[in-house]
Amino acid sequence: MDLTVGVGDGRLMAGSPPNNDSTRRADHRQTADLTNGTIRRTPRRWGWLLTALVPAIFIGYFFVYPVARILTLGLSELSFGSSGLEARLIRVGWFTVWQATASTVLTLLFAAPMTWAVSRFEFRGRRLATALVTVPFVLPTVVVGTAFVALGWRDSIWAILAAHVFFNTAIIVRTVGTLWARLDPDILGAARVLGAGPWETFRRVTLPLLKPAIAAATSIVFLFTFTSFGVVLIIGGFEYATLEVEIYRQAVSFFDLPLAAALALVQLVGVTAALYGYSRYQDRHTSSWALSSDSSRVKPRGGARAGVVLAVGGTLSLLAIPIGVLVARSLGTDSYRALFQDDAVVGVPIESAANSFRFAAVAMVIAVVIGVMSAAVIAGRSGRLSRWFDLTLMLPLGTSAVTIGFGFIVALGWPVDLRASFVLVPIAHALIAVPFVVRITVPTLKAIPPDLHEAAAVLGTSRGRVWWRIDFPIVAKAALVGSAFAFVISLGEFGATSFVARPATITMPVMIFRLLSRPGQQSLGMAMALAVALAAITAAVVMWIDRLQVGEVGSF
Amino acid sequence: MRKLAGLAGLLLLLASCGDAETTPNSIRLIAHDSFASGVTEETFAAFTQATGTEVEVIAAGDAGSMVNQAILTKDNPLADVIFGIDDTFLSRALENEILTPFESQYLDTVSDGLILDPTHRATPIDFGDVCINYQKAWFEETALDVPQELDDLRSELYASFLTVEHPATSSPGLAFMLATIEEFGEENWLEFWADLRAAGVRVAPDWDTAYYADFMPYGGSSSMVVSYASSPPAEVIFASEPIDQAPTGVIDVGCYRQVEFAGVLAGTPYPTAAGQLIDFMLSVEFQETIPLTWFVFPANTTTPLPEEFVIHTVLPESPAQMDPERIARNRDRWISQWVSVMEG
Amino acid sequence: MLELRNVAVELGGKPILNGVSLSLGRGEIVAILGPSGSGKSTLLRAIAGLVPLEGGEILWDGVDIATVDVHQRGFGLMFQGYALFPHLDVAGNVGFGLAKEDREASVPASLSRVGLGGFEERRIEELSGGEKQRVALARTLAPDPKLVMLDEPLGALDRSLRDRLVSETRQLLEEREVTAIVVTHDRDEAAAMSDRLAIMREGSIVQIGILEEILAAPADDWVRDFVT
Repeated sequence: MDLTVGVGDGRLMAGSPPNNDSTRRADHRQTADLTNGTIRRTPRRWGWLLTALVPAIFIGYFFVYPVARILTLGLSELSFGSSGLEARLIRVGWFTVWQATASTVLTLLFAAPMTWAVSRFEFRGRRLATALVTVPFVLPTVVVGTAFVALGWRDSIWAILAAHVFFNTAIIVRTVGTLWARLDPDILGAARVLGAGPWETFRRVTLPLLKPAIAAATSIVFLFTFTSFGVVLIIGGFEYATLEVEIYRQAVSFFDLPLAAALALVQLVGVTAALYGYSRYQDRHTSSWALSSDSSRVKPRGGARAGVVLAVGGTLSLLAIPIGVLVARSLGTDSYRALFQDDAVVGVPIESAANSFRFAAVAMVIAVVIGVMSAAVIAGRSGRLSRWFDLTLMLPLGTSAVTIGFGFIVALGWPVDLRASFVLVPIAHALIAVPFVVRITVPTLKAIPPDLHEAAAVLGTSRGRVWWRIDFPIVAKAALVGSAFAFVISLGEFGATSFVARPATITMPVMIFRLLSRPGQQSLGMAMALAVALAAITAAVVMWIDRLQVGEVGSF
Repeated sequence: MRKLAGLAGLLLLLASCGDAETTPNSIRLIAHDSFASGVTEETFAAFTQATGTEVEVIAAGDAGSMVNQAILTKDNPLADVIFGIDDTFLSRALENEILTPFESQYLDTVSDGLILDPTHRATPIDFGDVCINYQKAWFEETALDVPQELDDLRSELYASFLTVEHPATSSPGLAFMLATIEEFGEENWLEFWADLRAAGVRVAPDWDTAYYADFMPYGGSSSMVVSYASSPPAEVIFASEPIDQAPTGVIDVGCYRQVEFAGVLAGTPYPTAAGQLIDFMLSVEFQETIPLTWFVFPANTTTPLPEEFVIHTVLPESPAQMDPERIARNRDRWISQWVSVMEG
Repeated sequence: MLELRNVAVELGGKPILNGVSLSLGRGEIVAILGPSGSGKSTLLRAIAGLVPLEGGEILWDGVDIATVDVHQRGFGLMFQGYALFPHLDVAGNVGFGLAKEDREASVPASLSRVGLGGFEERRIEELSGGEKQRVALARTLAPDPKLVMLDEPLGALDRSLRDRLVSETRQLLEEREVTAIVVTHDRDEAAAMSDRLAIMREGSIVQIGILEEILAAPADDWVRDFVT
């Protein structure tokens, strides 16, 4: 059945504005009739399934299948009764959970003032500030790790928490900020006029409306810190071990695959449980009608101006402390010039940027295509199937890099031998980036007022065209923020590829790793200079992508 | 692509009826990240020129991860040649039968101490001596003597200025731990570590952190760090301004000789080409590039060493070495014991 | 009572209001009539304190309220799109401006006054346009504001509904003897709901009076064209 509303309706409505009340209600009826009472927003069932197919195949083949293969391989040989295993498991599991929870809460609190400032206010340097916050996110753990250690922030739980806050602040600022900047100012104004002070308005209106984004951002931060590896090893010293660290030790150092698989399963179950709780929560809190088409930022005045200066300045200066160590170490040895010169051993260090960019571009495209399709699927239909689909997409964030890396090589030999193939690098990056795109896009998509679709449908526009003309421009904005994250995730490599067998390619993080693995003041200087270059490139890319958001996409 | 190439190879094989093996267009070398990140276009250019075969290098994480991946893919190998198996992982590789014997024509240039597998499934390519490095300036200032034996380190005077790496996450850390076992024997080595701990030794997770965060020349508070005998020459070569004296030196106590091996992966369709690659890696042409690229010593004793490696370092007189099989049998237990002493 | 003296507002560097002066007596209802973009909504926001003044004064009972915060002015403003809180049900919306202890008693009364008795637990998304309008009106009136401002209160509704709501709304305002400003672009609606009309054009009020006066003696050609 064709989903367009007949021409007759268009004629019927000629002369009266399409958004008047009777047309809207009339159309409600028509839409309902045409779709047999199913949901209003996406193509019908087959369309939904078709859209779901591509991301489902992607996640199924590149995540579910490899992980299932490696886990069954390991678990098939598992024999219980190793001495002290249970006690250790409980200790490590407990530490993993509570440090992730504490890290997430602290990150949320730390990021809140900055998020407020960049979402509510338009000020000179806002975009730069937002871009700068993203910088820590991309820095290789080893680089930040040495900076933290050099500052004496080490060997304690506080150092671990501080490092987690440092790395993850950007996730909160950008994910929550995207929604917050677009909250309808009239709704907030209405609360004010009704007698609520600024704080009360925040508590009673802003906060509840931001809940989906806050839940999304915190779930990502939780997963990141839940699977923390380098930070715990380098900064925490050897007293602390997360499940991720323990999985590495068992799988790599001891080659005890059964035990590693058991731990990986525990990790997976924990992550799934956390995500399940989150997804139920997310379903309940979806805001419609609360968004305005464009950002509703205003110029800060009076007290707000001081608040913005304090929030932005304070956050950036705290984040700048470890980065300051990098910069200090990168200066003085002509390191920056050396980046552009042909080193007898490593070649021209800065040329590694070209490889990084190639991978990042491919990873970004994959992540955005898969992510937006997934978001359309998730936003278009609520229910168990959709929820589990959503949850599965998030899982790679909470799965150990060892599990994914080993899974790839045992699973991807058929039908085409993709093991150790070039494509695995951007695919591994995309697995990590897709959840970002999805989490940023879904709340926006769910918040598109149905009136828009109805209005368009009345004018005789087909469903596909409705999606293209209404959803797409709105989604594009959110997807751009997501794609910035995807690009940056790929630039930073993270742990995703550390255990993936892949063709030797010198990306920027690999070059930094290489420089840092040889002694000498110049080696250190060059490594730090390259890290600073990576940070600068990240900031520039993020700013450039942020700028694209303005103007190009029409408002609704 | 590989599949296709394999299929094409098979067809050719059938067509030529009996011709043992065609020369492949490319073969794969799986290696750990440290080696892979040092590979440039020139690394194997001479090999390709001589044989017409390209070398595709696969990076597979650290040495442990690489060996494990090779074991997991034993039935359908990821590559034709593996490089970077060290003596601590050698037994794991041999026991799991991932390698097939190959006797290199250059084997007689390698000192016997490096040939740890008499069946030649693993060919030594390089070695590195894990030794304690010290900052010369600090010892001059404090007028302290450089420790003469491992026992000296038990004193707070030294131990609180020493950083070692964790044996579970760092290969020099593991090597140093093995050296102490060799030195003190299985009965007494843990006591040594208990003393070190009581005297305030620092443990870093990996070499980067130990060297670049804890070592005094880089602003840390340790005047001694477990590193390599090749580190002082690197300090000279990669100094920020030209210097003629290394700021650090090597202490010839508790040194451990790590050997890195290459091997032909069992199941490769191109055993001949794989062997040729191992021969190339042991030839002077390739061995010459080893010191300045990966900061380890070439296994081929006929290889001339770079000047800096001659001037600025000492090769330890009798570094510890341990039978790979003994390491394999005990390593998990030793690490657990070490951990319980150091963390308990 | 409310008095505006030369109120000027700029948004994004663009002048929106250029010296608007207007005064309302207690219990008076004034309609502001003008084409879209003439600054009507901005004027209401300025009075509410939601946008800062570039110049001029707003006085309540002769006292300048420039330093009084939005939430302490005790005014009510019903937004053009209603700006209902999507995360609250109908009762939550209507009771938002009330003290906790008053909600239980006042909310049902407020709702039945607008003809929505029993709607307390309805979700905002389930409401029709007319129902939303009434919820918004009930919400605005519930805290007993000393000044009520309605921004295009009936703008998005269809004709028959509008006709009914015009008289209902007026009745509600009159019952409470509340001072009110109603913004609209529809002449008849303006006339039906108010005592006096203020015609606005490009950020200024060009004429004030009852409809008959304006029709009889329009200030200029533009006003004549606009009201007829």
